Amino acid sequence: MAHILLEKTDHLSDTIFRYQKGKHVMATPSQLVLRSDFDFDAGKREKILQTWNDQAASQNVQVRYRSEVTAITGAPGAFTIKLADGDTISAETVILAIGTQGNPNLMRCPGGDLPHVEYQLDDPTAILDEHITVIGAGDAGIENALGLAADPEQRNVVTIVNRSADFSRAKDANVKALTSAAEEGRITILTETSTNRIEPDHIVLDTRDGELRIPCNRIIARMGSAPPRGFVESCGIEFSSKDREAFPILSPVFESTAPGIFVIGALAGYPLIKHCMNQGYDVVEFINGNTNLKPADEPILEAKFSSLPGNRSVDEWLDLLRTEIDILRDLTPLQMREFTLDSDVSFVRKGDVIFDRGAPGSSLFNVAYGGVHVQVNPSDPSIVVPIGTGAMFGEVGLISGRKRGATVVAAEDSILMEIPRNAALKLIATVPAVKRAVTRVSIERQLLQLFKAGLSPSDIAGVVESAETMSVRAGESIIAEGDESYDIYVIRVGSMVVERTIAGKTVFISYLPAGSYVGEMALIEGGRRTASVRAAVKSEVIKLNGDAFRGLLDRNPTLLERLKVDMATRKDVNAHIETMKSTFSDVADMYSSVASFLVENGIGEATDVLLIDERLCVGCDNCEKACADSHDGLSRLDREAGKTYAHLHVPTSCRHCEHPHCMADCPPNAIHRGMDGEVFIDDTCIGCGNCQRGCPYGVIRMDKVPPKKPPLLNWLLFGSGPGPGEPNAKWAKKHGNPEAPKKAIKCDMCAGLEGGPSCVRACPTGAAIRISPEQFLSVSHMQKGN
Amino acid sequence: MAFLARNKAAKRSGPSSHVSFLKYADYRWLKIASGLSALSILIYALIDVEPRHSGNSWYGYTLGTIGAILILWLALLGWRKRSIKPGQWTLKSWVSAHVWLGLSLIIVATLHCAFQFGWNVHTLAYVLMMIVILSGIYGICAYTILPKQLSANRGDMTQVEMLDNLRSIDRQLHDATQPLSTELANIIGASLNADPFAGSILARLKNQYPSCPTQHAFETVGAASRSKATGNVDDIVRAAQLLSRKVTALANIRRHLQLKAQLEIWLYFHVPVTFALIAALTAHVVSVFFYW
Amino acid sequence: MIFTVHHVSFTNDGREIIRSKDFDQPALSVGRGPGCDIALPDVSVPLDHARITANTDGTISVDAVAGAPFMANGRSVTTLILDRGDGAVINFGSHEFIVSRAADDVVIRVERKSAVADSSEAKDSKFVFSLGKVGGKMRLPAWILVVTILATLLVWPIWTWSNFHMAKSRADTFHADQSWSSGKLSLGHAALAKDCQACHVNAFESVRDSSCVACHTKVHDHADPKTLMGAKGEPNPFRQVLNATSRMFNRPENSCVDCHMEHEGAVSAPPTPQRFCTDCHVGLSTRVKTTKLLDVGDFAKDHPEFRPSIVTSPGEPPTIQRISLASKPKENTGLKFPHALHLSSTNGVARMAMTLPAYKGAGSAGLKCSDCHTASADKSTFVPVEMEKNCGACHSLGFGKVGNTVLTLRHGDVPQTIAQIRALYRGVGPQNPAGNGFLQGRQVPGSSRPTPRFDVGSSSPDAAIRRVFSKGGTCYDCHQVVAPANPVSLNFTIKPVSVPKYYMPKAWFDHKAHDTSKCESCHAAPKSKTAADVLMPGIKSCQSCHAGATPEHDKVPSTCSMCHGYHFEDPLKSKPVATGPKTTAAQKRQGTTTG
Repeated sequence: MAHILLEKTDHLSDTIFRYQKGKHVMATPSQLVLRSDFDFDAGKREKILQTWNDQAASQNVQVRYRSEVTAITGAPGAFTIKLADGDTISAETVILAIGTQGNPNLMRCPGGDLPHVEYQLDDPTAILDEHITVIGAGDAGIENALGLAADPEQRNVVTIVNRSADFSRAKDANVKALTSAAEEGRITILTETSTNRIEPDHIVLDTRDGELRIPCNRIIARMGSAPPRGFVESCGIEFSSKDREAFPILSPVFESTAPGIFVIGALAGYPLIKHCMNQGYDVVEFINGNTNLKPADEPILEAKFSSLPGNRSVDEWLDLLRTEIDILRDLTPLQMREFTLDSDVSFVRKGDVIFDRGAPGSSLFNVAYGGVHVQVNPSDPSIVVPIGTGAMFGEVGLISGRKRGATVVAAEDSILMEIPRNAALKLIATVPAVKRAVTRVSIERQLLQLFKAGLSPSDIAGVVESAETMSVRAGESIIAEGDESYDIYVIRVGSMVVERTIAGKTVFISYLPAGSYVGEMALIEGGRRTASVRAAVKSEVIKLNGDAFRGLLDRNPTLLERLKVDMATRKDVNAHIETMKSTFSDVADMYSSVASFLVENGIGEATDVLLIDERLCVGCDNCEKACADSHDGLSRLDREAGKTYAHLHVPTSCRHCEHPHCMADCPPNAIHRGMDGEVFIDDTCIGCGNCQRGCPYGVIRMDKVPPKKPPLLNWLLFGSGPGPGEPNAKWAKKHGNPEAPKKAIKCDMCAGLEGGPSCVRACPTGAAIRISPEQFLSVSHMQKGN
Repeated sequence: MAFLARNKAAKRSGPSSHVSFLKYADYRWLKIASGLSALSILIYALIDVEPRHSGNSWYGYTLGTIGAILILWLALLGWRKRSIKPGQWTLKSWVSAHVWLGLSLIIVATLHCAFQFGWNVHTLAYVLMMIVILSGIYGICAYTILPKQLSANRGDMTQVEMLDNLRSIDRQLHDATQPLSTELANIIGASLNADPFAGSILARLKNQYPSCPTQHAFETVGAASRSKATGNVDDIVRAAQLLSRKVTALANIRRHLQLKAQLEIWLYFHVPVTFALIAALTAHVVSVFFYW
Repeated sequence: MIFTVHHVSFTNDGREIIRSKDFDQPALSVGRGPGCDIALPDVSVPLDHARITANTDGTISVDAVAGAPFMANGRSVTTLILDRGDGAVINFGSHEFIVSRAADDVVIRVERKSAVADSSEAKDSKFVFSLGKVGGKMRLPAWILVVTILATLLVWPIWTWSNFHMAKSRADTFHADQSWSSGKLSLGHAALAKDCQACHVNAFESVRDSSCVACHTKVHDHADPKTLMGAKGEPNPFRQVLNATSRMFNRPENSCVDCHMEHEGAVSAPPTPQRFCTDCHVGLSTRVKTTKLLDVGDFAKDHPEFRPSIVTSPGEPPTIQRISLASKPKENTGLKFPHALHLSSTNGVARMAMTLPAYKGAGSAGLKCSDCHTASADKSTFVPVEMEKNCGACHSLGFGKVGNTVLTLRHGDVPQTIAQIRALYRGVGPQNPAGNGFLQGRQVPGSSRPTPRFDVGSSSPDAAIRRVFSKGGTCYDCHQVVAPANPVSLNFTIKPVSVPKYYMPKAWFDHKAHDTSKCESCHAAPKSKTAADVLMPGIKSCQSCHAGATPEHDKVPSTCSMCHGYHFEDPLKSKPVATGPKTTAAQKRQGTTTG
């Protein structure tokens, strides 16, 4: 059929083209069959590009290179496509497969259009003996700058220009690397500087102390990029929400709200190559009129539903789920398919335990049929809150990232749909209705769970109305000592630290994990705030209006009692700290300073962190060796690296954050929270390195699995092989397979290994300990004299 | 049913208790070991072996067997430490047992040989064992005293960072040296070409590096930089500054090396002699039954 | 002439970077100075080092400017001429110049051969920071030690053993298996110190009795092995376990080494512990019905009264019975010897003793025990009493005199005696006109007045003979004479004398060890009026000092082996080891003992 492929650049498949040379490209999901006429198999970048270019040629695909589309107008059957170079092309239907990359922001200053101004850097190692100015100190800019200056032999003179004074947009790791490079004189950093104009071989900058003209053979502008959304919307395509992560609204055949325009690929919300190729195929088939074509994922769904009673067809099931489950009502069939693919639908018998109180888990459950009971009171399982058909549960875990707050059992034979964290978050992001529903329900449930005392939803309705959720930046305080406010805050996401100023010193008093509340003292006793509460990490709190809550208390004396009890214990803690201050001042100082040190090092958002007591650590590195040996030869932990305070060392290893930064952007969705609360990467990893870049603690590394080592005894007796632990680079290189793909490697807490984390088990002196912040940041710990 | 499977997941060992290997499990192994020693002493004192206590009395054989088994088991730590198999074991508990039972071996073995020594394979085995134990005792002391200092000395620096730091100083020093006169250049060159990790075991242990080229360069160049006579003073001053930085960095590294050496040196006796001990033990046991 | 200079350098990941520059000039300056045409950032190169000149004749000369030499094709030179078309490899400091020709042009490839600093070279930080960097691996020393020890202390000894296995003896030199000796051999075996295989014959086989009896041929069995087995009672459970273990390790019971432990130090063989005896002898009769032995336990309490061997009637052979001293036994040795009479300090015996030169030493005290009982060489016992030596001085057998020669009857020969007397009367021998005169002065010792012994004149030889053997006669004094039934017959006989050699042949008694105390303190001789008295002391008198294995402080520890021997034959031949109080203490202290 008549077609033309418009390509912005001068080559096909630009995304993969931009991968670094020799990068191994994965083909996930493996269970998905490939329909496209183009072959695609995991392999090297070059090989894949080769195949595709050949096949594009052999199947005479008509390509128009260097054709950037600026606008699409018209109606189905007669679209007019305007190109950057002024030409126009008319088409009956349009398929948008432009991805989410968007276009980089351009240099607006004079000379911005000179040829040596570039917006991307493919191979920094190829550039020699040049004066290079990198504009923009985001991660991209910093990484380019570092790449250019990495090898002194290239003798590049690199300058990085940043508009603001600090590198707020960049990751710590990158900033550290940059500053150290600057100290070594490999890179010049110019902050609070903007470009004045660009001349051949020179660039003129406006710095704080005036104009600066430096030699410059190449300019690399990394000033972010405008997402293609604007363009897409200009074509008349609607998005599901204003949310940044929102995707276009699509029909089951990927047709957008602008009839005749189809959207596939990353832009449609499918980052994986295989998906895109299949969608391309499907869409073309549809356009050809082959309407009864079943989507490629049909078999996968069939497999999912096979275990359910009453043999319905896939479509029937999808329909049932969509109609029965409240939050899925507004989904398009397409979205429905997609979420079902990620989710787990299962049939449970009456009395089955869905999950236990305290079990880790952050997935969202929905009752498609039947109902469940939530055991709110751990001591008395008979007290239950029923949840009926259509309702959701498990959202607290989803939002707080904490362990499950209550045990849930099936009240009758039921059909449940479990939507894993990422899918659920995506759902919330894309469908505003879902967001509202979840927020409301979660606040209500959280309060009920928090202040038990037999409250009913109706009791707290007023308070819930008054509730507003606020997100708090790390370090920002929600309550300041001495204030007169008396609102109550419930920590929904993240964690907080409570501090008081004693004798002019801020003293750490306690640590509040998500799911706890604060601020009741002022409300109950009146008077000013007795302590400040600030966010340990980026958090989200529910602010409950003081007056509304007071009303609630008046109506529920039991609740008041409960709060008084909690308050009493907290007062004890305060009192204890103060006595400690007066008597063993140094102990208290130690405790509070250690505590704040740990919070600074991100223990606040950790669920399980490895600490090393350097009064015991002899530096044998057995923890690293053990880690490597129990994880196919790669250590997920760097004992030495990391901060130390008062002989307490926080090594570089995963903290299994409540809201893992690494999960944020994983194309194959390969990062999950496991049954022991560990955050792990499954083997669908495509080695894109997003998680590595995403982790603020630098605990993820990209590496290839080293070859198998000879048995331990051979090393012990005859020294064959590299010995225990991670083999040194030389040996690995010598015996390894150079073709092996690099994958993301991180701590999985030795999930499934009997005996728990090897690092701790393998510590000969007992220096290595694994703890959760509540355990460590508690006064009891200080009383133990630690 | 993924989530149902979860509930069946094996319960795992709780948070690791935070105590040193000596205090492990409230001194469990200390108690066991001292119990063993006390018991053997008691029996030794009470029973009347004719004509006198010796390794070939029934009690001698008993203690001998216990001792031999102990030695072999203690030696197994070297394997346990390195074979990270799943299981409900912690190396800390092993080390704790290793240390305390190892010490009790002094009693057991001495009573086994009943203070009879001579120039023979039997006494050799005993002596080797004592060497191993004594080196072990040093190890315990080192492990209790040194880690604090090690951590204090390195601060947040990792070994890789120490090395990189030195590298960058060297690179800058190399560049700074270019304009200098030949003789200064040679002096600094010596420092550049010197292996910062050279030096004998003794040097590391005592942290004494006489005729350290960097030190020498630091002094001479420093002197040169102070004497205004020479031409390109600025270059020399820069070199001198870099050298002083290098001296500091080197001092830090060498202190680290010293502490690590003190933490490791005993193993050079403990481990090989253990193997020797096992050999001697074999000879001892075989000989006893061979000529019976 | 054009110089093309390729500066070659490598990135960290090994990529080669070449920076080329052409010089259209006759000469190039080489040095560290920034002004040089080829500036080498190399601290080991002088600021202005060398000139590379293209001469008109097409040759190229390289000259050191400051005279500092450089390496050319491996030799240190200060100047170098390259002919037309020639190339060379030149080293300035750590930089290598490869000079080659392309047509008329000169191509110089400049490459740095070593890193700017040692620290810049790739280092495995884990390794260089560990002591292993200077200490090396532990594996090698470990192996060396292991191999050495096994070779010298296991393989070599076994090799020695196999060499001499079943050999009669081994050279008296060092043998490897001596390193296995757990201690010095006892003095008795000292000679075997270098010949382990004298006792240790087969591998993994405990020393067998055969090895012992090979030398100790005379040792007889303590008792019939079967009886021995029976004698040993049912051992207590603990000992049963031990025995079971012994059997398990193929170690036979009742072997010599059970009692005779070796390698216990260079001392004489230690005494057998008492339990080795008492195990069987306590309550022996209950286990061995047939035995004549009495049950014996510790000497202090469980030892029966002594049962010396007593001659109840002399003769050939005499009848000897073991009779307990408790039943006051009488003995009959065929002699008449009242000890009391001889030991008196007042009677005639005493006086006569004073007159006799042989007993002058007796002084006024009369006879002492030692006058007749002379100690044996080792003073441990006494030599038998002899008539001629110990009695003859007083009890003379003289009956006539020829000149000054006194004729004496032959002692112990009755027919001879009779013959001698008859001869006297037949006139053979001394003639008689002188009548009785020559008999003057002959006295029976002890009698106050001289009485004629033979009344030759008034009587016949028969009467003289009858007189000798009858009461008052010479023989009759000490011996029991059997008179002939027929009063006219003269064939008298004398009962044989059987004095027991040892009263206690199954035990050893060392008189020397007791020489501090008087004879009388044990032997009641002074009060004994008749030879029938048994003068052996009773167990009481021994126990007054010897109080068993574990005595109270002032007594002498006395185990069985003090008096008894396991392989006990002739008390003189096999003398058991006495364990005196001092030595026992010493033994407990440092495990040595003395004989």
